[in-house]
Amino acid sequence: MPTDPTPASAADRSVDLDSVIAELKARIEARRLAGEYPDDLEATLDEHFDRLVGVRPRSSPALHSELQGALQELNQVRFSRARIEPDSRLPGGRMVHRFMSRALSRQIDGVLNQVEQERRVIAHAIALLGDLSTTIGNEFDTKVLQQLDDLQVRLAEQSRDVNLLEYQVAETRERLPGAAVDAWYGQDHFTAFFRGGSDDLRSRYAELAKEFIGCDPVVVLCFGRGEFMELLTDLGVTVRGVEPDQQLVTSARGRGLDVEQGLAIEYLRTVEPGSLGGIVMIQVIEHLSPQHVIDFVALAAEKLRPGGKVVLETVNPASLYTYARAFWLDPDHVRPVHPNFLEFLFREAEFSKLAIEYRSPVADSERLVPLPGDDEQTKVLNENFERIGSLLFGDQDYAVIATR
Amino acid sequence: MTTTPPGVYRRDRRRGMSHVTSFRRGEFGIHQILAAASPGDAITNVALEYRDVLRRVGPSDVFARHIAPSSADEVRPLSEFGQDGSGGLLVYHASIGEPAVSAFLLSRPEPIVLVYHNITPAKYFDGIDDTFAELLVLGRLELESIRHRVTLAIADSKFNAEELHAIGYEDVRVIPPVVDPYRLVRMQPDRATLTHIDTTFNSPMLLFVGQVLPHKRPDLLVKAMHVAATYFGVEARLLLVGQNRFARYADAVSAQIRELNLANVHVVGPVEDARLAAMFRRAIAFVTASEHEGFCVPVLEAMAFDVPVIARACAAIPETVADGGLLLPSWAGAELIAEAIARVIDDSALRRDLVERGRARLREFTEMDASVSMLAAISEVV
Repeated sequence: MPTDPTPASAADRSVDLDSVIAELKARIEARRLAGEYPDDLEATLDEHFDRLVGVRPRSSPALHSELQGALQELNQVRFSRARIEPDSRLPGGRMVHRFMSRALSRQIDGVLNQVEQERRVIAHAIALLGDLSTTIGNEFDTKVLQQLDDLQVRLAEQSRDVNLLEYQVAETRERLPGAAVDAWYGQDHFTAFFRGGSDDLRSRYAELAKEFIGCDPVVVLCFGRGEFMELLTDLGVTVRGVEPDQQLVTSARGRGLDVEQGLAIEYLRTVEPGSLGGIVMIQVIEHLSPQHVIDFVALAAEKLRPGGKVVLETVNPASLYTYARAFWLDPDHVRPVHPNFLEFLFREAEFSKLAIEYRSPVADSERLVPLPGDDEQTKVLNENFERIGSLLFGDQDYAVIATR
Repeated sequence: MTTTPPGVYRRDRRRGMSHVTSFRRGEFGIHQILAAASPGDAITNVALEYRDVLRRVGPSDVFARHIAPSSADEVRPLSEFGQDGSGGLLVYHASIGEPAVSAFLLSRPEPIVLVYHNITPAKYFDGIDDTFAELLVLGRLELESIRHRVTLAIADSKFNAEELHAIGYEDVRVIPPVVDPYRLVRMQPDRATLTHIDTTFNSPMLLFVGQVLPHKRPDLLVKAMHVAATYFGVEARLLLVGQNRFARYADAVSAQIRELNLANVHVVGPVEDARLAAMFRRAIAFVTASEHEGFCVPVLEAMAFDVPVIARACAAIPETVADGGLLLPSWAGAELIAEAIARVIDDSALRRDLVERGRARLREFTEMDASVSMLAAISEVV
């Protein structure tokens, strides 16, 4: 037990309470610095108590048990004339009350009996109400739970259906002609393997590039390894490239070309109308869906200024040889685009000038050899061979040069 | 144990009488009106003290709307008012909303003296007892509604006076409550309690006296005890003595003590005066973290027992404690309170100083003789 402080005299009152409080505050700081207790100690203790004192409505079992208690009390109430106090402040009042009580006993008892009957009815009614509320609660609980179960089952079924649909859509999308191929190999490797080195391509397109002299700015859609862009740059033409393959974009950017990653048609939609001098699509249109093919021509008409040019090159579907040797080599090809259809499109889009240049003739070594001889039969046979040859061995590519 | 210093508590009855010559016995009654009366309730105690003073000059009774059975001998039902010719002046102790009481006051022709003991802000009871919170809001509205009928407004602290000013009362007298801080000191302490403390408690005992209510912040004291015990290694007990008015809140405090594993903190509940006197006699310090008090009588009672006081400077507490105790800043949290507790337990020189300060503060308080001021103020309006 602590000892009581001895009575202090006025001289003992030497403690400066302000400095005591300052010391206490300093001690808290020192303890915190020394890590004697956590920084958030007070906040943690506050949260703890707040949780304990949080609003908690009384549970239905507690209410039910209170109701039972109240009913029990009500059932214990008994009405009796004996419970009516005959006390009175008036002299002789007690006797008067007793007399009255006896004189009116029949009436009083009658009233009390009626009250007692009423009490029973009321107690019974309250008990029924209690049971009713419990029953309603139970029924409600059962119904709500049943509905929740049903909802959960339906939700599970629906999410299963949605998963299946998602899977089917993905499958279908992959199987659709024109769906982009997500290749694990590099596009540059594919091009090198089937189309040859960059130098071959540069010499192949050198003449075509000259079409764009004075047509700045030119956009090359799906520039691949960028040979056409380099040709244009060499010619002093301002050129920008768009390519969906990130690796090709990075490589071109590394070589100082002005490029960005994107899809051809999407990109064209963002370009300011009448702002381009030239659009290049080399071996690209056969990768587009039919809808994008026709959209492309309309977009080119919109985005080119008057005098601006479109140069596109694609596989020639009029040469059956290309089906055997070229077109189906590329898994990303959607469908060949016929030169006559493109011609129709550009004319419909009101391009002022249109030239179609057939390119990449089939090597003679691949063609049918005419029969030697000069007789009538041989001549007829050779003419037929020629007809078959022109259908089979037409030029492998064609280029459209359209001027707005 | 120390006893009351002789001569410190002097209620100068003759001086009181000299100020109330305008009262003439038997002709004029001064009656007090309360919303509720119960033993141990601070406002009921103040009203009974007032009554004893007022009876020196004329008939005086205390009437209340709700009366606890054990107060029935001292307090009369409000419905009896006026039946026996009582009347004259009404002294209304405002503490909570009670439509029946304000309707009663507005229906009476007598002039009204308002004694404002403070109405606890409702925010402390939001979510704990919404009905009670509404009554507190109602109490403040009623203060406004009876304002035009109030002849004299008395507040028992400057803090309370400010609140009355804020709702439009112009002339408010600040008169400390007529309380006898030595009431418990003069009482024979309960021997069993003394023996229990002496034989069972093996560490210093701190005491808080007040209802277990949110604005009294018993939770903060519990937090401080946790900090002191867990991080400072302080071995001490804390007794929380007072009514548990809201079971849910008191349950939360008990759960807090249990979950923090504080075996040395006890929610004692209400106790008889003799037991309380015994606890005061054995306490090493009185500690309160209360946030809202209109006056805080237990602080003076602690001083009367030579028990050092630790409190936070909130609401009217700085006025009541004045220079008589260790007054921590109003923002003091569990850590600072814990430091103060540890320091007071360890530092006997500081304890001696606080005891001396408490005595000096009590001298000031008793020399003011609130009963004289109160009678003088009332004499002006009759």
